Amino acid sequence: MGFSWPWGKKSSVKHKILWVDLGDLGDLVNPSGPHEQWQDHGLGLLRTIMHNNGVMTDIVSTRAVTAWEQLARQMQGYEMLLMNVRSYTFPTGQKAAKVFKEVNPNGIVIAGGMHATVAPHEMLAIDAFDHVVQGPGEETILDLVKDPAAYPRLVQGVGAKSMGEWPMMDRELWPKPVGWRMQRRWKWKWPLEPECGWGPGPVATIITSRVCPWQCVFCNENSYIPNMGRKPVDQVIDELNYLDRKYGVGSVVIHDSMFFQNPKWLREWIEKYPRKTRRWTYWAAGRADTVRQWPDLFEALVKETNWRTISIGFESGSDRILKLLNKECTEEDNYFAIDLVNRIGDELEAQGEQPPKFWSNIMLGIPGETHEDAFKTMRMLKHMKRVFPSISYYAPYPGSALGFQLIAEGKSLMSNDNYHRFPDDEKVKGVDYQFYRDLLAGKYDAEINKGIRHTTHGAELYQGTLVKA
Amino acid sequence: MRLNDAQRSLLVALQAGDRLKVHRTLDGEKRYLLHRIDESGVSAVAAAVVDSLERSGLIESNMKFPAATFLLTDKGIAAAAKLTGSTQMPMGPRNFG
Ligand code: B12
Ligand code: SF4
Repeated sequence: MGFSWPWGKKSSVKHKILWVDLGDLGDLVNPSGPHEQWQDHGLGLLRTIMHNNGVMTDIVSTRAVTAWEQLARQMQGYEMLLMNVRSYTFPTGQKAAKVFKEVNPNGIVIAGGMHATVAPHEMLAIDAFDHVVQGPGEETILDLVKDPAAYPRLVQGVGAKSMGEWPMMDRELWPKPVGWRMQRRWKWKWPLEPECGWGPGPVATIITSRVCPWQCVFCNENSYIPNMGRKPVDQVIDELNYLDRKYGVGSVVIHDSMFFQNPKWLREWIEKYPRKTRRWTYWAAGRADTVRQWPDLFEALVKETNWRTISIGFESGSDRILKLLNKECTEEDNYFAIDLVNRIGDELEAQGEQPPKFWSNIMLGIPGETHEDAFKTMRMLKHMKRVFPSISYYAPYPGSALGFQLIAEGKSLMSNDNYHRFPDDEKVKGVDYQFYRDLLAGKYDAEINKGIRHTTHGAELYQGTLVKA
Repeated sequence: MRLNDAQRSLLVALQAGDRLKVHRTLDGEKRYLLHRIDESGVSAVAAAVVDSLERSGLIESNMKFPAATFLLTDKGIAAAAKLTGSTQMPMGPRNFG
C-alpha cells in the first residue's frame, strides 16, 4: 500500500533516532483492558542505556495512534528507527518499518527482539528492515547506532553478563497514555502501570531474572535467551523503593518467566523484602515441581513476602501430556501445589488476610491430547479454590522445539503476518476445537465431576458454587 | 445492577458457551464479536454493553493478546443462572476478585 502525505516536513524533531513502541493501534488511546497497557522492558532498558551514554532518542508508539497516517506524520524527518519485535508484534513491526521508509526513504531501520532472535529469516524477508539483531542488545546498541554500515544485515547481539550490570531503567522513557480521560478511567499514574486485577495500582513491573532454565518443548526460552546472573536482591529493592518515593507503588508484578528459582536468592528476598519495603503484594511465577521440592521456602514466600497472585504453568492435568511437553512436573506435583495453596489460603483468610490465588496457565489442544487427558486437566482446575484459569489453545511459536516441529510438518495454522491473531484461535491442523469449546462451556461437567478426587480442599467448594448458582 | 435486554442476552449466551472476543485488525479496528459455541455464527456486540458488564464485575477479560476473550465471573455466573435457571457453568475465574 502506498501513502501520499499531504503535510510538510515536521519541525518538532528533536533527535535523529526514533524508537517505535509496538502494539495494536489505539491501545494507549482507548484500551479495553490492562493487558493493552503493559510497558516494554526491552525498549525501556535499551533506551535508558542510550540516554545514559548521551545517545538521545525520541519515541513514538503504534499504540498511541489510531491510524497509520498519524504515525507516518510523527515519524517524518528521522534518520533511524529502532524497535523491539516479538512474534505477536511482528505484523505491526513490519508495517511500522514500511511506513517509516515511505516517509524517510533514506532512513535506516534496525529491529531486534525475540522475533528477530527466533525467526530471523522472517525478519530478513522484509526489505524495510536494514539490520536485524538476534539476541540481547545491551552491549551492541551503542556501537550499532553510531555506525550501522559497519555491521552485516544480520547482527549477533551481545548482552550483559549479569542483570546487576543493567542501569536502573528510566520509566519516563516509556510511551505515555494518550489523553486524561483514559488516564482517569484506568487511574493510570504513568510511568507506573495501571491496576490489572492482581493488586492495587499503581503497578510497578520489574524483572529480576532473565531466563527460565527449564526446557518445556512449547517454550524452552533458554535455548535462545542466553543465561545471565540474576539482579541482586538489594538492587531490586532499591528500585522499588525509588519508584515508591517518586510515584507511589500500589503493588508489584514480577515479570520473570520463572521467579521461583534459585533458593539462595529467594531466601535473601524473604529476609529483606518484608523489612526494607512496604511489603506490597505481588504477582510472580513458579512451577509445581519446585513448590513440591521446596514447600517451606514457598510457604514462607507466600506468607512473609505477600506473594498473593501465584502464576503456575500447570499446563495439563495428565502425566501423558506433561511428559510430551517435557514439563518435568507430574500430576502429583500439580496436586501438591494446589493443596498447599488452598490450605495457605484458608489459613490466611481465617486470620482476616487476603488469601493467595492462582493464575493458572493451562494449555488445551495439544496435538495428541485425548478427551480423557483434557478431562483430567479440567478436574485439576476444579481442584483449585481461588483461581483465574488462563487457558490457551496450544500455539506453535517459533523458537520452541514443538513449534518448530509443527511448523516444519506444515501443521501450524499461524501465518507469518498473522501471529497470534487467528480469529478462531485455531492454531494447529487436525485438532478438534469443537470438543474444546464444549469442554470449556461445561458440557462435559458430569463426566469430569465423576472423576474428581475427594480431598479437603478445593473441589467440593467448586461444587458448592455450582449448587448455589 | 438492573440489566437491560442486551446485557441479559449477552450473559445468557456466555453461560451457554458462546465466546465474546475482542477482534483487532492491523489498521486499528476493534470489534467485540460473539461467536456461537458451534461456530454457526458471529454477531457484533456494542462496546458499551461489554464495558458496562465489565465495570459491574460480571465479566472479566482473560488478558490475552491481541484478541482477549471475556469470561463470566462468579457474580456473572450467578446472574446468568438466575436468568436461565440452568446450572451449566463455563470455565472461568473462581473466588478471584
Ligand atoms: C514480561 C513478559 C511478558 C509481559 C509483558 C510483555 C510486554 N509488553 O513487555 C506479559 C505478561 C504481558 C507477557 C505476555 C505475553 N507474552 Co511474554 N514475556 C515476557 C518475558 C517473561 C520477559 C520480557 C522482557 O521484558 N524481557 C527483558 C527485556 C530486557 O528483554 P527483551 O524485551 O527481549 O529485549 C532484549 C533483546 O530482545 C534485545 N532487543 C530488543 N529490542 C531490541 C532492539 C534493538 C534495536 C536491539 C539492537 C536489540 C533489541 O535487547 C534487549 C536487552 O537484551 C518474556 C520471556 C523472556 N525471558 O524474555 C516473555 C515472552 C516475550 N512472551 C512471550 C509470549 C508468547 C507472550 C504472550 C503472547 C503469551 C500469551 N499467549 O498470552 C503474551 C502477549 C502479550 C503482549 N502482546 O504483550 C514469548 C514470546 C515468544 C516470541 N517468539 O516472541 C516470550 C519469549 C516467552 C516465551 N518463552 O514463550 N509477556
Ligand atoms: S514454560 Fe515455564 S517452566 Fe517451562 S521453560 Fe517456559 S518459563 Fe520455564
